[in-house]
Amino acid sequence: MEGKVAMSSTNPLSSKQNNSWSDLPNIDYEPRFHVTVLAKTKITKNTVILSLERPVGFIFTPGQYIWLVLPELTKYFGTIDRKAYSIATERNDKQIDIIFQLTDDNFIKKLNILKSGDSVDIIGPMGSAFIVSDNDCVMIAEKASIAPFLSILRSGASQGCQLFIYDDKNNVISYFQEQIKRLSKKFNYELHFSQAKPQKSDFNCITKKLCNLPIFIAGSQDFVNIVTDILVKSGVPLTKLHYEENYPQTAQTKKLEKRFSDYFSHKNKGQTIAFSGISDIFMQSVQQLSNHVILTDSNGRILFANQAVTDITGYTFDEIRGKTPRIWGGLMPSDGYALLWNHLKKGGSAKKVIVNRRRDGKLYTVVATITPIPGQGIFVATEENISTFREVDKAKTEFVSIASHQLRTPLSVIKWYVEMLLSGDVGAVSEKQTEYLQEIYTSSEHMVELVNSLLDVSRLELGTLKPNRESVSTIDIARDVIKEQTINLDKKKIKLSFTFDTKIPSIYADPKLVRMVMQNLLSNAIKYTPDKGNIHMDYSIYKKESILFKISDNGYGIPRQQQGQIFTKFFRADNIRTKITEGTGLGLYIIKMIIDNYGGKVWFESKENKGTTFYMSIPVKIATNKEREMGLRI
Amino acid sequence: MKSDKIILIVEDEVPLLNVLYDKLTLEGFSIVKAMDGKAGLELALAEHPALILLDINLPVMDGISMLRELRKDPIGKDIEVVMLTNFSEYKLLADAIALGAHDYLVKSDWKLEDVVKLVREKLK
Repeated sequence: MEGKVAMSSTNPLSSKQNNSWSDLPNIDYEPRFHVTVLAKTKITKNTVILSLERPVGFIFTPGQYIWLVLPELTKYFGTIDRKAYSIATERNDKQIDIIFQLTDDNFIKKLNILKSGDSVDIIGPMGSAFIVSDNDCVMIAEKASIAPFLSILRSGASQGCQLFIYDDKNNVISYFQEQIKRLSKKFNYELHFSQAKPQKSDFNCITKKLCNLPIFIAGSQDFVNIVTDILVKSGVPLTKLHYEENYPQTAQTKKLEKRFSDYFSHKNKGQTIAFSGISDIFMQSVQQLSNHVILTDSNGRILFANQAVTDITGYTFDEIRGKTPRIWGGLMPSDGYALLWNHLKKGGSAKKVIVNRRRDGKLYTVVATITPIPGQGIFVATEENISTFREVDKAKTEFVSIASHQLRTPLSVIKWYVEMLLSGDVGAVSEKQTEYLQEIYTSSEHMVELVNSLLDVSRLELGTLKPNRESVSTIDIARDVIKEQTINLDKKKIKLSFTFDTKIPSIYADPKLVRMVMQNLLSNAIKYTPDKGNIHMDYSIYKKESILFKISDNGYGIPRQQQGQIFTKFFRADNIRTKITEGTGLGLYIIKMIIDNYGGKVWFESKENKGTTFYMSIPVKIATNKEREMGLRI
Repeated sequence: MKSDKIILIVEDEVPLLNVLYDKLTLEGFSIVKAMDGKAGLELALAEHPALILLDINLPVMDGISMLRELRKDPIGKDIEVVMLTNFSEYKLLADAIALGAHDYLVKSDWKLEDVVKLVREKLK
């Protein structure tokens, strides 16, 4: 991007003023924020401005956008839960404004019922394609698509630029017209308003100049097509044109789209229509793949191999033509191959993890997928080399195992010697010494907990242990977990109540993982509720197919501006860090990982100093394909 | 019989070996100790302990290999073995249980007092 923006940003997804991609951004978290709706303003019959609270640390460059997320859409309707919106406010505003058009879309309908005080999630800021230069440029927008330009104009960037605004009904623009005029005066923007469709003559006065300026175009698909067509015909090179959501369709694009769509719609119906050159296009695609692709006859004799086969196995196509994949395979138990071929010859397809040998003797592991083409006597076999992933996983597992062992050994020494001293086995200790020793003991226990949690996290992330799957009564587990925590509840004089629907069915899961989730949720509620507080736990049936667990407390709550980070690793909210020194910041991360793997959901509502309610839904029938292999501490 | 009450501790970390030795001696048990798997095996076959507290990460011969060798011997095949380790890998647990270890304790998760309680139970 040729823009120069004198801004720094702490967000790794923000635009980088580096023309090279040699340094990839280190993105290890999603910049997601839970924000409050400050206002909703309907500016025309179909256009709404939504003003959102701007979170602390949200630094953006005019021209960037956010993803607005309404998680309930996926939860309740299974539809996509996010849409991208340009930021319309200036970079120093305390709020983030977005503009949307009312349509029949489910997302928009949901967005339109939000009211002031409600909250939504936003992810961002994102994008750098639409960041304009500080030098001269041209901005061409239609109706509500003016949003990204508003941010630029309001921030005073790109002074002296030309702005073309089109609005056939003049509704949206009339709302902003006075403000834009004011800004234009202040920052010396040149304005062109129009209620007609874009015409060649609109740009005549500047066509020559336009050739050398970057031009930013935002609007509907038709608008973008029309403007691009005019500009290209006037001699503006395509490289000078920049787009936001909609990119132009050329006559050639439209033709290609139709050819592909016709070809595949016929293909899906079992018909074939002419598409000259299609085999060249797909041959090039296959050759470009980094995965190994071969075609064999029904006896496994190789008819075709792509370039990746040579790269991976070390054999050229000429060397393997007419041979079978035994040249690099054949290392698995022979009965497995027999079963595989029987299955394939009956028309079935197969996906297996197998070990092969390269020409140089080196072994490698692949995920092989083999599919017969009906009626052709041809098998398509693809292989994805997963050796590197497996080696990395193995190294990580070994490292974690050794590291946790090495950390636990000195901790055991500290714990057991302090215990000896405290027990008086080796002589009396004074009251003050006892107090100090107790502190050492508590800290070493905390450290043990941290090591164990880290081990849990690493095993869950690596999927190193097979989970046990059996019929689990979540009610029984909840009762056990409450029993375990009785001492802590009594210590803080916290009242706990537990209600449940007697018809709650059992789930098919690993009881140790379910227990881990319950233990973490209850111990958190106890930890973060002051003395004499209340905790309520409830199990109910949720949407017939899931069970819903709810745990509410009247504790310290989670500060609103930090709610978006609550499920991240090692995160501990500011309001409890000094109050409660124990806690690893890993519990909720572990819970989320386990529940996500069971195809469930975990979410919460919280108000600082009022309390928190965590919700967790787990499907009664956990889909096996959703469950990763998960591990846990023994 | 006194020999029934002998406990063999196989542990290579000196501070842990010492604290276990001191605590269990205070509790009235007779202790023999070894610092590697090979020495532990020889001592087990010579002393016929009633219980072995066995670490896994040991020099010369690791704890799992020692347990395997122990079970091959008529004397060693029935000795009660409690694994006392800081490894918590599922495979090691499975191997130890398959070789007839009676318990598998992760040291850092256990109080010394509770280890003593368990030993007392085992030797009742």
